[in-house]
Amino acid sequence: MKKFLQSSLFLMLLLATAPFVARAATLDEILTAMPAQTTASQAEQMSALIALGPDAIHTLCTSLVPMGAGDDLAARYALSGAVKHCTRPGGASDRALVAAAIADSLKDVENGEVRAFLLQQLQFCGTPAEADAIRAQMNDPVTASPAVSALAAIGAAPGPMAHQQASKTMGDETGFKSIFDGESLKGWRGHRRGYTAENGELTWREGGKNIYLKKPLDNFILRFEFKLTPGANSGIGLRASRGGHAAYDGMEIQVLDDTSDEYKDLEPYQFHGSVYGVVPATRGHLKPVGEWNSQEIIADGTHIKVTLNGTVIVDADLEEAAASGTMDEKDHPGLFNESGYLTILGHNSVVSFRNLRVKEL
Amino acid sequence: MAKKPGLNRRSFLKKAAAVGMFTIVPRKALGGPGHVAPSEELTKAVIGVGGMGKGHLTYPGARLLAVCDVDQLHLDEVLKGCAPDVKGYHDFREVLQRDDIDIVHVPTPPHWHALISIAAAEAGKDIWCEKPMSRTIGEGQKVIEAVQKNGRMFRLNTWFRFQSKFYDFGTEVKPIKQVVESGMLGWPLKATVGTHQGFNFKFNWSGLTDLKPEPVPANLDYDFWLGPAPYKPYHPHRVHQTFRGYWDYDGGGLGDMGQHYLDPVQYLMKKDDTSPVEIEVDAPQQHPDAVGSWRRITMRYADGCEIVLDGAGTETNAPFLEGPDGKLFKGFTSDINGFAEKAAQLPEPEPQITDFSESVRTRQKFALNESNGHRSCTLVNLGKIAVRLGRNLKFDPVTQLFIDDEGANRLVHQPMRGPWKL
Repeated sequence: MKKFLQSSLFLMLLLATAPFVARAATLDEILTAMPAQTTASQAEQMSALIALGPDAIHTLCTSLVPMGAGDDLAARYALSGAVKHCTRPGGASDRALVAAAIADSLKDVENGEVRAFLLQQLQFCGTPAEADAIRAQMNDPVTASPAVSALAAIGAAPGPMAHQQASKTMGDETGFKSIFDGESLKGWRGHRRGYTAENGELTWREGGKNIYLKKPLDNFILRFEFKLTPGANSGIGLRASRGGHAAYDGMEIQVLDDTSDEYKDLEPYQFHGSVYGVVPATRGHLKPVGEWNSQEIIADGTHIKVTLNGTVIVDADLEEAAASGTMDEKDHPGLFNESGYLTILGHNSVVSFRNLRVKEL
Repeated sequence: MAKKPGLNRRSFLKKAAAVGMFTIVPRKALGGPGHVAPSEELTKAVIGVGGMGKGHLTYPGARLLAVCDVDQLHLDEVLKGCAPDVKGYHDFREVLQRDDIDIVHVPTPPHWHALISIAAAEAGKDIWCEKPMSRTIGEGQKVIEAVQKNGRMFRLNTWFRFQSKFYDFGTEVKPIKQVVESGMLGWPLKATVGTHQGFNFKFNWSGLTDLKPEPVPANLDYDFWLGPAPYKPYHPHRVHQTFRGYWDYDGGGLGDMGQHYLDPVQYLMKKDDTSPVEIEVDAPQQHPDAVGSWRRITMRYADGCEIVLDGAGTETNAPFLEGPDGKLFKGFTSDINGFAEKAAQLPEPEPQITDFSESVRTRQKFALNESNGHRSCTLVNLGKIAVRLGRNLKFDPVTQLFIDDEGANRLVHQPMRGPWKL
């Protein structure tokens, strides 16, 4: 008995004098401290938050609610605070962690408005590693625009934004070969009589059907300029079969005068630049009808990217886009062709093309 | 949408302008010997007529031909009081297509300033833009490009560097400039801008963090009102005056009043073509959407000149301006011996063009134009960025980018919501 008492007393004495070890702040403690009242305590709290790891960031992301639907004020301060802190000088590893965690949480957040908020946070801290997760948000009308902005911010970092007017050559032209000589249909097959080739311009002619580049292509970048007339409708077929319906036996990148009244009731995936029926393009970047536009189409495996007058209007993965069926709910048997014919589609309206060139990947 | 400037009209007006100073001729004086015939009269359009815009309607110097607003109620109300030949518009782009408009006024909220200024420049118009000149530093650079590439005249709607009592400091800026130019205070200078020097940072212009979305009123085209700003559910507090409280559109009282206070300071310090290299901040953590208050922002130039923004109002006894050789306090008093006599004998500062009509007619830059206006707006934007991030920053005035700070640079150049873009 005496020995027991002695040991217990000794133990109690030991505990009483043991040095106090600071415990890392919990997420709840950090939330209670929001908003921090000084820049120093803000840095301290955000450092502690990031030290809790990606799970803590993920928890914050999934705890957010749409505006007015509940109280997520502390979480908004905490998350945006972590985003700001991780972009400080020397914060690269923090930034990689925070940005990846936010991007990773997108798939677990159902509400579009909340995802839009998360995309805005990625606009401030995202890295190229998050680009794919951001791209996946482009198909949802609520998140498409903040996704485009986030991608733009990431693509252009650390220098000025890449939102510039497209110049005649769209950046580096190394490796591009012309596929139209400006004065003949040499190299093209199909309904050649349906088109004129003069003064550098390839123009549809009354009754014209489709023409296709004789040499099949698999992965490539196509650059060109085009000019619409009012109500114009045409298209660029990619990896299409010869003589088939390019939009379904390959895929069609729509060419359309979006502003025409006759198209006002079309579905989003029917407008200019869309992968017709499958991926809607961002609208509003066409020059006025009658002016030349410049466009780039990248077809790299299942990645399709369309840039119009310097703005990316489609940046999609066909597998993701068609994962639960295509948007138009139609069969697109050629969507995943690995190669096929580059086709200009004659859809009964005057459209002109010039400066067509391709770089094979 | 680029249009060539109206060369014939402009060159006629240039020939018609006498060499020398124009003064603003009050309406009732027209018709006499100084009468300006309608064909020589300048014309204007005002885009954004909800708040400040109403004042722009009657600024002298040009005849109003068009008003534009995305809120039908604002438009209708203003048209009631306008002459019958003033036309109302919903879309500013239609206004810009008119060949008969010389000057475009831009008293919209700040997130629209750069876009409309650039579009107006490309349409061959001269521009009278509200402050702050641009919501971001990147936008301001694009405004300069467009204005200069298209040979346009640009002025901001702040004027304290050349006229009016400088808030509660008590005098105009001119005598202060004379004192600085004389070298009496020495160099470099430190300016303190806060309540005790005569300047109020209007922290009432803060945003709300508990907005519950409401239906958009039928008279407001909210999507167009937002324009390049990210889409967020509508609440009346986001628009019409109180937009000042949201980072997406402005920057609180600093965004609203900052350029009025800081442009004269920039002028006094001769910093019209450069920016500070260091920014320090003391502020509580900011909400991602709603602008809050801050306590202190300090900006330092490479030559040692310093600007202290005293938001908390703790600089009770600080002079407005201080140099190694002397101090200048609110009310134009100084610790320099014989200051009053010395100040009374100082030469006039460099003349400036202070009538925008004269700028437009002679094609000479206005006193506060796209270049120096961008630099004083940059002071405001540097402050906003430091407050928003909650950390000290280093800035390169030549590249107009922060050094090693990705987060800060992402606030210099911010993508716009499509289809709007610079």
